[in-house]
Order: sequence, then C-alpha cells, then structure tokens
Amino acid sequence: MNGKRNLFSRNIREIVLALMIVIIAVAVQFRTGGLFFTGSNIFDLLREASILIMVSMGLMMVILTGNIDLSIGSTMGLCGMLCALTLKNNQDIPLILLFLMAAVIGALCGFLNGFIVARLHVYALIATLATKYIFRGIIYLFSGGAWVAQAEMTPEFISITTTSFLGINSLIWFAIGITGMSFVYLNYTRSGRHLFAVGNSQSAAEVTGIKVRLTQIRSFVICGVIAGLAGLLWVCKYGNAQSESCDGYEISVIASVVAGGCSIAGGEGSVAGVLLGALLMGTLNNILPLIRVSTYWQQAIKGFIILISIVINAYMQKRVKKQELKRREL
Amino acid sequence: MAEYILELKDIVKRFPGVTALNHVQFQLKKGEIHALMGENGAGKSTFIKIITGVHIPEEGHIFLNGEEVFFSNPLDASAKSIAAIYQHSTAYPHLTVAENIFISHYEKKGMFLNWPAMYEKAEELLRDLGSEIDPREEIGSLTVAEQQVVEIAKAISANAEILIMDEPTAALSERECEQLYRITNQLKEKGTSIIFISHRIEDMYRLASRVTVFRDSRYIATYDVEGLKKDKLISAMVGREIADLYPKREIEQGDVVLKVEGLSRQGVFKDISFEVHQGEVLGFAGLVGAGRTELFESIYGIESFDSGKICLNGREVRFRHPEEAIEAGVGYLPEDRQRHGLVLSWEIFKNVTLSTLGKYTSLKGIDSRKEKEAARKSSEDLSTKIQSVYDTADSLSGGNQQKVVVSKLLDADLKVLILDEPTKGVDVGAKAQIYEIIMDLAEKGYAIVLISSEMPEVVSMSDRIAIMANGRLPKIVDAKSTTQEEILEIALNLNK
Amino acid sequence: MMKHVNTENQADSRVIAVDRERSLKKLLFRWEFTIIFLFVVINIINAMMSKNYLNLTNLSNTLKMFLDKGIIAFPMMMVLLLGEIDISVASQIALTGTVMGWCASKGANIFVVVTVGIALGALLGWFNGFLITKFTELSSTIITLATEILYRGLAWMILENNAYTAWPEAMHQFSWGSIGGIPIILFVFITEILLFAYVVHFTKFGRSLYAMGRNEKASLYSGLRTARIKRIVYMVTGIFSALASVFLCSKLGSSRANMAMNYEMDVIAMVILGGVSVSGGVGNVVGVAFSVFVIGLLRYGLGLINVSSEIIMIIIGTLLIVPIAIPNLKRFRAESDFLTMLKRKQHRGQTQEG
Repeated sequence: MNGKRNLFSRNIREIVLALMIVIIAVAVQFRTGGLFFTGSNIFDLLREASILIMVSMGLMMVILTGNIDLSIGSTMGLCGMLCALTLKNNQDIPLILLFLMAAVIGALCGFLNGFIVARLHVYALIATLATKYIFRGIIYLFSGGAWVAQAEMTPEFISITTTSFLGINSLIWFAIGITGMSFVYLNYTRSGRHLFAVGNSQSAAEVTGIKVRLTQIRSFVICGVIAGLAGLLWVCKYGNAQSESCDGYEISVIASVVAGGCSIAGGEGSVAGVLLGALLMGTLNNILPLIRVSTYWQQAIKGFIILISIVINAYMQKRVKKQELKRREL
Repeated sequence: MAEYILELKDIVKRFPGVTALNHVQFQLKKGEIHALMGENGAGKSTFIKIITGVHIPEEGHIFLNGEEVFFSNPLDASAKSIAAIYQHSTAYPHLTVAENIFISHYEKKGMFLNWPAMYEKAEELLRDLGSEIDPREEIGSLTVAEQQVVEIAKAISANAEILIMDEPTAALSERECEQLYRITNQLKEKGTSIIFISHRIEDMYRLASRVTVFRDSRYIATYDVEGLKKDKLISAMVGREIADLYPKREIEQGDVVLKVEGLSRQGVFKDISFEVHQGEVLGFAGLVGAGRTELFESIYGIESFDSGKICLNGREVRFRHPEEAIEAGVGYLPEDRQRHGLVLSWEIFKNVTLSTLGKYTSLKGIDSRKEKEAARKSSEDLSTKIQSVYDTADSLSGGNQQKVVVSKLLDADLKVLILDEPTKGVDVGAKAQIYEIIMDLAEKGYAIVLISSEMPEVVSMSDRIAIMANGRLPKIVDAKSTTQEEILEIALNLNK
Repeated sequence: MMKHVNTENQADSRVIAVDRERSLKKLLFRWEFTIIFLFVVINIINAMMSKNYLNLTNLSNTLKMFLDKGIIAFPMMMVLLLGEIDISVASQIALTGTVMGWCASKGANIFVVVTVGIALGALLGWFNGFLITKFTELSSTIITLATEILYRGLAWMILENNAYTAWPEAMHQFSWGSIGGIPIILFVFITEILLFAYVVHFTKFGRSLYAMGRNEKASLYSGLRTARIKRIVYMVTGIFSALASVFLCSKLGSSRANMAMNYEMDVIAMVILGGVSVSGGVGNVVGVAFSVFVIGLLRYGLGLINVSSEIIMIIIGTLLIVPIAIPNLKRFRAESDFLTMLKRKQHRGQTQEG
C-alpha cells in the first residue's frame, strides 16, 4: 500500500508560504530596527493586500479550469471608470446601485471572455490578451482620457474604504468575505467542484456529464464580477479613476495565484494557498520601501517569483512521477 | 419480465474505411458474468462503446429489460445504470478517491456538499471490497490496480445494474488478479450483471458462466463456460487453421545484428538481454503493461535507460534521439500509428518522407516530384490501396495507414525493424498482406522484432519468442516448440 | 467526406480536429487572396483619404512606423507554426534596447552596441526555448508570460524612469537613413521575407516546423529533433526582437524601459491575420507579409481620420480574435444545443424505421 500522505505533506506548499512570510517579516523587522511589526504597518499591509486577495480568488476560478485571464486589470479599470463617471454625473445615486453596476459590468466582461474561449474556441491566452486591449480601449472611449477626481465623487462614496467595522477596515472585510465565499464555493458546491473536474480532465468531465463549456464561462463570469467590485473599491481607495488605472495589475494577481500553488494547467489549487500567495506579494510590496529597495524592482521580482513558482511546480510533478516508478518492484 | 437484462440485435458500426461491427448480437442475463472474447480488432472495444453510449450504431437495436433504448451520449447509458471500467484510467488525477467515486452524485447536506458523509460511505464501499485505500488520497497517486478498485466502488455507488469490465486484468499482478476475481464474484452475488472482456482464458474459466466470441467484427457464437474445451474456444476466436492465416517462411538467418545486455530502467524494466539475427523474426510476447513498448522506446532513443549495453553489428551504441537510431539503421513502427506514426492531415507522400527529408532536399528546396515518386513506388511495392499519393493519411483504412508508416521506415536505410503491434486495428485482409511484407523484409536481410499481444500471431510469425512480464524478460523460447497456452502461462506465472 | 452522421460531441474528437484542420486549409487558400485583397483595398482607401499618401517621403515614413513590428512577425510565424506562442517579444525589445542604450552611454561604438543587443536578444530567446524544452509540463503560454514580466522588469530595474539618449552617430541611420530613396528598414524587411520564405518553404527545417505543429510526437518518432528546433526558433525570435529594438531606438532616438509597450499584440495579430493557425502547422510567408502591411497601413489610415489610438487598440484586439474564431464557427454551430437536439430527433426517427 502507498504511504499515506498525512496532513503535513498534503499542505506542504501552504506551510512553506506561511514560513516564507514569517521569515521575511522577521528579517525585515531586524534589518529596519522594528519598522515592520507596527500596528499601522500591519494594517496598511492588509489593506493594500485586500484588493489583491479578492482579485486573486477570482483569477483562481479561471486558472482552475485550465484557462487564464489577462484582462482582469482592464476589467477592474473599466468598472471603476464607468462607476466613477456615473457617480460624477449622478451624485445622489445609492451606493448599492454602484456596486451592482460594477458587478454587472464585470460579469459582462467575464461573459465575453468566457464566450470567446468556450464557444468560439479561442485559446484563453490570446482571447484575454485581446480583451485586455479591447476593454482598455473602451475605458478611453468613455473617459476621453480624462480622470475622475476625488472632488467629483461624493464624500460618502470615498468614505467606504476609510470606514472601519469592529476596528477592522472595510477593505479587509471585503477580502475576508470574498475569501470565505470562495472557500465555500470551491469546496462545498457542485459547480465549484466542477471547476476542478474540468481542469483535471476535460474528457472525463464530458463523459461524466459535466457541462464543460458552461463551467468555463461561469469561471470567467465569477472572475469578472469580483474584478468589477475590486475595480470600484480601487477607485474608492485611491480617490480617483484614471484611464490607466490597474493597467498591468494582472501581473501581481498571476504572481499571487501561481505562487499560491495553482497549477497553470488547471485542476489544482487551494483558497488557503492563494490567500497566502497574495499575502506574500503584499508583504513584499510592503517591505520594499522599508528596506529602501526601489519600487522599480517590483516587476522584476514578481516575474522572478512567477518563474520560480512554475519551475518548482514542474519539478515536483517530475519528482512524484519518479517516486511512483521507484515504488514499482520489478 | 424480460429474459435478458440487456440485449443487442443486429448492430452495425462503421468508421471510414472499415466496418467495426458487422451485425453482431449479444444477450446478457440478469446476475450473470458473461465473458466477451476475441482477438485484437475483433470489435470488442467498439461494441462496449456502443453499450456505454460513446458510439452510436448505424444500424441495430438495443433492449434493456425488453424495452428498446437509444443512447446518444454516455450520460444516457449511465442514467440507465450501465457503468464501465476500462484499462486506462478515466479518473480525475488530482481529486480524492472519495470525490472520484461521488463525482456524478455528490452527497449533499442542504445546499452544500457533505464531505464527511462521502468519506464515510467511500470508506465503507472500499472496505466491503476488501481494500485499504484511504478515501482522502489523491487518486493519481494510487497504482493501476487500486484505481480500478475505486472505479468499481464508483460503479457500485452509482447502483450500476450492468457493469462492463474491459480488460481489467491486463496490467495486474497475480495477487491483484485474485483480488479482482473476488470482488467481481462479490458483485455477482449482489445481483450485478457483468460483461467481462479479457484476453486471458483463465479469467473466463474463473468467472464467467457464459462466453460470447467475436471475430473479424462478427458475432461467432455463445457457449456455456462449463464443459467448454479450450480448443473449441480458440478455434472460434481464430476461425481458421492457424497455418492458413500466418504465411511463415523458413528464412536463412545471418549474424547477430542487435544485441542487448542487462538493460534496465528504474521502475520500468530490469535486466533485459536478447539478440536478433539478420533475417530473423524475434517475437516479443507478453500481456499489456509488461514493458515491451517502454523497452524499445529506450532502445530507440525516445527514452533513456539507466544501465546495460546495446550493440549494433558488434559496435556498442547508445541512441540519445530517434534521429541517431535511424541514422544507425534502427527503425521503429509505433504502437499508436495515429498519434505517433502519422501526420494524419498530411498527404501520403509527405508522411513517407518525414524521416528522410535530407534525401529530398537540396539548395533548390524540397524535390516534391522525387517525394511523390518514392511514395508511389512504395505503395506499389506494399500494395497500399490509395487513389493517389495526394491522398491524406486520415482517409485510409487502418491497414493502409500502417503500410504508409512502413513505407516511411523503409525509405531509410535500416538494418533492424522494431514493429510494435503492427496489425492492431487492421482488418484481416490487410493483416495477411502485412505478414507477407514482414516475411519479404526478413528475406531481404532485415532483423525484425515483432511485438504483439496477439498470441496466435506472435507464435506463428516468429522464429523465437521473448516473453516479457512485469518489466522482466526471463525466457526466450523457440517458436516451433511452444504453444499459445504455454506462452500465456509463462507470461501469467511470472506475475507471481 | 469524412462526416459521421452520428459524430456529435463524444465520438472521435480526432475526427473533428482533422475536419477543422481541413476546413482551415481550405480557408487558408482563400485567406491569402482575402489578405491581398485587403491590402489593395486599404491602400486605395488611404490614398483617397490623403492626397500625399503616395508621396515617397510620406510612404517611407509610414513604413517606419510598423516595419519594426513586421521584423518580428516572421520569427513569430515560426513559433506559431510549431503550435507555440511567445508573448515576451515586446519585453525583449525593451530589455535589449535598455542594455544597448547603456552600452552607448558608456561610449561604445555602433558595432559594439548592436552586437551586444543582438547577442542579448539571442540569449533571452534561448532562455525561453530552454525553459520550454526542459520543463515539458509547462506550456509556452505560462513560460513566455513569466519571461515577459521578468524581462521588462529587468529593464525597469536598470533604467527606472530615465532614458538613454546618447547614441553613436550611426544609430540614427538605421531608421532614418535610406539607400536610393528606399528606407533601410524596408531593405531589411524585404531581405527577411526572402530569407524566411526560403527557410520555411524550401528547407527540411521548415517542413519540420509544419510537421511538429501538426503532430509533435509523430515528428519525434520520425527522427526530427523537436527540442532542438524549438530552441532554435525561440532564439531566432530573440535575435529579431533585438534587431527590431535597434530600429526602434534609432527611430525614437532613445530607449526607455516602457518602449515597445503592447507590441506583442500587433505582432501576433499580424501573424494570425496572415492565416497562420494558432494550433500549428498551417500558414505561409506570403500571407504574413501582406498582413504586416494590412495592419500597419490600417493603423496609419485610421490615424489619418483621427481615430484615437485607444479605438485602434480595440480594432486590433478584435483582429486577434476574429481570424481564429471564423474557422471555429462550424464547430460552434455543431455544438449549439438546439441543433444537437434536432439531430438527435432525426437519428431516433431513422433507427426506428431501420
């Protein structure tokens, strides 16, 4: 009988990630003479990471099915801008309607992506590369290249991301909410499990009666909705909506998801892993200024992390195969 | 109440260039284990796919408990409580055992999935089957035999009334086979009706009460297993005098061309030694999963090996890539001709020259005329049935496709030909032609390795037979002094 | 010819795939004509819109705008023929441009600058190829996505928000010089067309690309050096990206970390619109050559009528999707649930009579 994989070995990636975060935090704490573990710094870190955590959960849905979504940055920007413009021109609009609007626009973007990938059979990389530019172009269509400034938005809107509930900033609550919902969805609902099934083996899924195309479209729509909401929160947090907002954000999100253990081929991944991956990215973003590393180093670091993560994933797969062969007694 | 739980009448299934099933029939009684036997290419796999709804027959009727049914997709079949277990896994490798079992019928608590209940039930099912598999394990990390047990548990969990088992013993050790027999009988006791497909006559005697034989896409007969003599069964499966079918010639053999000593690859094969002479046909017999293809892929340069020696015409060689093998004179006819042997959408002449493009290229470019000429001549020599060299490979029948791959091999200057299941999926007429081709090649001085899972074929066409089992090659016998059954026994016994 | 009455979704998916390749091939034949037709049409429209269009100076200026992307289109074609992708080309341009600029700022002469650039491009391309062939579990999608981020990230690290503007005199000539009135870049481009046309359509290497794109495993078993060929193709892509960078730096007179932003979109669009299939094994140089001009002149023409660059982004983005989606429309219709239902009823009717 095979060796049973106990709780430790099954969750080794999450443990390593958590350890990495702790090590970095402690190292920086010493290096900077205590700048890291201050209340305000930790809260800052969590606030900053909140949006990343949310969008990472969304992207995870798409990656689980074996696809990718390069357009999330543009979706965020589009929803943010459209809502900001609406707010600017209708200052008395109920906020809940804005959120609804962001979700709907995000869903539409996601649906377009899903349709192109699942029904028109265009590879996700190319499809979302194209929609990344298309959505960004649409932003400019509406904004004419201009910003929506803080003064043009209502104070009660701006205050959404500055209010706290039970002493914890609302952004963090949003992140907790999305993470929790993702956890329940992916582990306790049929359609959530179907994401894993489709990512594991499309052919087996078809034979079992799982609607592969629908599952794929659903993953893109969920990702779009979350991206839309995140885009709105982004506008709120930074107090403006620029035409270039969130351009390139997908880099950070992909880094979080991949570092968090999601296999880019699909079928593997965990909410805990992605959460830790996003926290790792958030920690890195936080400490770079603390240890006086230029922010211009960020992209290279993210690229490096993505590369290392996927190479490690590939090595581990190879090792598993080798071990299986070793076990075979001849 | 209908006499049969499942009945198929007059089933016809056609694919381009070949009729896979020619008016076959089948009757399954409730609660019986019914064996389905026949050689490779007899139509068993296609037949199973009809029952499970993967293929739709051009003609014929299917009756469940007396009522006619139509399956337009696998879901229809599984809705009618028909389940199947195949040789290759249809599992989700990264999902747990429990999830694989319950994938189409999750246990729920209200809106949410009830994992504790599923783990508990999975555990129960597996213990009932005598297995110690942990339902929380990722199924991808289990052995083939264990994955099979999970598939069976899945079928039970789905309340399958009809269970089809397609060559389940192919890759199992003796001990694992016994476990499978026990489980299968257990299912029978519970009232499941089982169709059991196997090559192994022993399986049939151990499990089945009746056996149906297919041959050449046709229904031959159904017998009661009790009292059935082996010869009767074999002659039903083979049909003619073996001598007629296999045009073996006595060919003078020359020196040793290929010599392998102590070849090993961790976890795949161990300590393999053999030699092949000029003009000889060395058969490689064994059950599926014995490691023959893997062995020759290592020799040919697709994979590497860990230790041992290969000598070609006395000189030690090690091929790091098929290009080196072909250069040195070793050619390989892949087992899966559609995936590894041909570019299906390409014309024949392009396929034929794929290994030897250097011959046709000059500064002026690739000489198309020369290519087409070579392809034309080759198809004449091999009697490949084509309309022109412009035909695309996917428009040919299995036998003719195989001839195109042979043409490709022969376009190079080779000394050794490794033929991996050359007549798999080929109709009888083309099979005979391929045997003649093999004999012609042996006469011309090629050293030929014939890998085959078809016992009659390997016994009749080889000069000597190497028997592999579980990654080892313990015995090489003289073809003239052995029988199919003896080889089978050796191949099976070695699994202990 | 190969239609199964009862194909639907479960039966031999191989048959469907082959069918799709078939219709792709047929489409391609018509495709080249379509592209050439588009090429002619766009030129006519542009000429109508701007009286100075056919002016030689204007034309050569126009060409300079997009031929640097065109330079990368042919190596990219080879990548797609293999059935792979490379989205890191824009980042390769940025990184090689940055390093070249650094060399120039240290006083190196033009030969050193260009050689360093090209050598670096070869290295970056080789690295892609190395990763792709070493880690066969990883797709070229994710690997070139990672290197795309990493390479440009390195450019940001080196240059931050500055620009290198001190180039040797000769640098200016690349994009702004001409021989007999014809821009140097056009010479380079035409030479490239001839070179790639020969390699892709007249050599064993070229035939191997098509074979690998259609069936990589069969190519391997037939003795083709699949890993080596992949590495070569990616390295060539790197070399030509560096070459494009030379022309871009020359045109702009500077190099920045954010140069060649979004270039990969245009390059891939040029190749796809040129009739090269993303699944590999289909396409030819003629189509790509004309497609380079179609996209380049389309951009120019839209600029003439003052279409904003963002709307142009939308249009080119759509051009990425449409050529891929069109051959799939047949499958789209086949998979439409409504039609499937009708077919099923048809089959049921048939069997009952039979």
